[in-house]
Amino acid sequence: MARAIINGIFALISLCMFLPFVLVITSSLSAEQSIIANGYQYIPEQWSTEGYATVFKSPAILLRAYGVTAFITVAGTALSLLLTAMTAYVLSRKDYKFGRLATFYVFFTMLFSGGLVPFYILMTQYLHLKDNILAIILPSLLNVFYVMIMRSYMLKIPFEMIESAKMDGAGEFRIFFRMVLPLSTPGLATLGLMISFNYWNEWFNALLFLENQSLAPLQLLLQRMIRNIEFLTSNSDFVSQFGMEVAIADLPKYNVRMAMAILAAGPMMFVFPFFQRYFVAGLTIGSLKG
Amino acid sequence: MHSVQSTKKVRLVTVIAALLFATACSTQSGNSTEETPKATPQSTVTDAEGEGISEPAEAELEPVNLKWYFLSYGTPTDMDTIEAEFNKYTQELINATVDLVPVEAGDYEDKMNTVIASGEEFDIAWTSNWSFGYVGNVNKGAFYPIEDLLPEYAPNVTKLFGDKLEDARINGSIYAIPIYQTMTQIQGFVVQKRFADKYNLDVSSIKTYTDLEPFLQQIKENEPDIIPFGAAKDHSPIWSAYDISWTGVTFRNSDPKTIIHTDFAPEYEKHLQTMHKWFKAGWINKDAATAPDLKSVLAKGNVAVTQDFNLKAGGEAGHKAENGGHDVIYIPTQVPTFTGVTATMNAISHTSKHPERAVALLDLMASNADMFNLLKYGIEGKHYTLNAEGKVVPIADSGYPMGVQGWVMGNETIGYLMEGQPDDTWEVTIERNENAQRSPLYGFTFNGENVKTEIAAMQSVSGEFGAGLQTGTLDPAVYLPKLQDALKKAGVDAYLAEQQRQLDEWFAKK
Repeated sequence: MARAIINGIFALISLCMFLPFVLVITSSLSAEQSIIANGYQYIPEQWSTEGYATVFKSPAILLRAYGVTAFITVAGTALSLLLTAMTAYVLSRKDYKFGRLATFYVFFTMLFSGGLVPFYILMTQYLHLKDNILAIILPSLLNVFYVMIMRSYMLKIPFEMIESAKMDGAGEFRIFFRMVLPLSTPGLATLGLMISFNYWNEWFNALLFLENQSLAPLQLLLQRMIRNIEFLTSNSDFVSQFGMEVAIADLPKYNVRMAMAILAAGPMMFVFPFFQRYFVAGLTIGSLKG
Repeated sequence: MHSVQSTKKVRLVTVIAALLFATACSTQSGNSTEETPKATPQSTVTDAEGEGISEPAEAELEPVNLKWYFLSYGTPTDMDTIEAEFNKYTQELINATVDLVPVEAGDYEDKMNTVIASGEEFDIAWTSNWSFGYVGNVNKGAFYPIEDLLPEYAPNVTKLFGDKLEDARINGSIYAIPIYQTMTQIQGFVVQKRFADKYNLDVSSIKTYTDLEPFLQQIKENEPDIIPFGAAKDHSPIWSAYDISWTGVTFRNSDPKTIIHTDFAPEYEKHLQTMHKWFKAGWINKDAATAPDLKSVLAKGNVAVTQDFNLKAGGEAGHKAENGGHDVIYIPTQVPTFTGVTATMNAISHTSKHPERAVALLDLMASNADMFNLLKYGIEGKHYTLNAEGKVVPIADSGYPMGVQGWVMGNETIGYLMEGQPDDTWEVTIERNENAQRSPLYGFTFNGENVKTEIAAMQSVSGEFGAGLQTGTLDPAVYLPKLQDALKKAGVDAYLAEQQRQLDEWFAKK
């Protein structure tokens, strides 16, 4: 009985998360007219693939954006995982003399950040990363929160193992790459998933630093579309004053917006199940006190 | 401050100033005014039709590169091609190359605020009184005072605008060059012609909302499928119907020296009562308070009357398309009123190393039709074609979003017309600009820097009740006092006092 209630509650919660998503899917497949007439519906009056047709009308931009996003996701995640694991490992070594100090130093950056403007100045005027794809990858390479998760995960690897490997003549790099990393697979997979989501959803740094339109990632396109609609509607007085009927007529229609959303979120939904196994394991182990 | 190593300090000041929204950085603008422009030979006099700077001066100009941030819609993938083509002109005429950096409209303000705050070096940025605010940025010290450069480097702009340029004057100087485009506004009602004809609507008798009532009543009784009056959630009163004007501050045309707040005006209460009566009578569409925009309300073509804040010359074609293909007629509630030139401008950055050249470039945009058309429409044959009448027909998906950016670039009236625009569009525009009625507060600009908090608080209050009240959905007898109360708490009195103080000062100076 109790089990049924608990299951029921969880089923309800899942439904609450699942249904809006279904609504997005069906809306993306609705005819524009039926959205205008009836609003978003689970079963639209009239189905249509017009939304997707519009998005794919100029596939070059979209495909390019997919390419950019895929590249930053793969490259960023790989690099970020490596750096996170390395940092976490160093901080987790009990025989590291400055361990406490280094941990505090890393942790401190989590509490205080430089702020947007210094960040912008650093990136553009000192590192000269404007219009460079690295500007999207570099800033999020090391997330301190992930380092902390990884560190507490690695703390549970018995130090005796590392010591004995050392006695058998293994060097530090060998120990790290051949022992520590394989032992941390669940943790790495979990963080990898989170990091890849971050990279996949990245648009803000792209907005700040990329002026070359061909470097725009997918989420930036989506973000732009939505913000432009917001801009046009909130400034409608001015917009109409300047004779911008053209721009208003070009506003993406409701079904197009939904189609865009599906295209932007879709690929990650297929990736998720492959990680889920580790995800569960990683989180449980990470939260257990050894 | 004025030592050699002051650049670093200035940059630091800029950052701090931007972060703290401090207005006290007048030191900065002081700095920039000191760098008097290098005197160039008087031979740069241009003839009336001239394309900017004349030949002799060119030889002495060293080549420079200018960076121009401007607002754009859509993603111009073909920008590089256009930039290359554009640079052929600029190199020949002012020996400069130009980095054209389009920034999507929705991102513009965020992006530019960061650029300004970081003290990045660039030359020109689009600005206005409604997005990426001109006054605020001048007060931050972000822009370069160009008044002294105008006679020499921008003769065409000076001639084009005449004393209208005064509109752009703040703190004693001019910091931006306006775009020449529609600068007038006519508010009014839009009525579907078929109903106006059927019920013999006397257009000349309608001056305000209540005058429409007999007509709306007829529609309600005789046309069951028609919505008599269409509104959406951003619906707000056409103030000219109540003889109230807005130019940054609100006032009655009969008494321009007194600031009012519309939410406390008796006219507003009367208007809300009218709307509520209409709503209860079923004259306004039921979903008005939630409909995202008027366009979706009108789309089916079953709305008899609606309103518009700008009944532009030749705009009926656009309204016809919006109303499901039904012809419309206009009922203006005011004569064309001059809206000022600050609605769209290009400012020179205070970080610019070549303000003279930037001004000269903007002067070209106001006078050189080839350059203007190139930026607005792209390359002929590639991005657009000209039809038999010499009007632009866009080529779909050509990589350059068309016909939407003229009002960001330069002088609209030297450019081509789009297919479907009446031949005399620019003549009418110019004629109206020249003869439009000027507001009694023409030239006054309100600076909201001191009451920022109040403005933000008031905005969120209006957001709460605005849509419900103005579409007539909520009963004003109950909710208007609530709104007024909330506004009082948000600091409306301080806000009005500040406006009144600035206005009094302005009148005193006059």
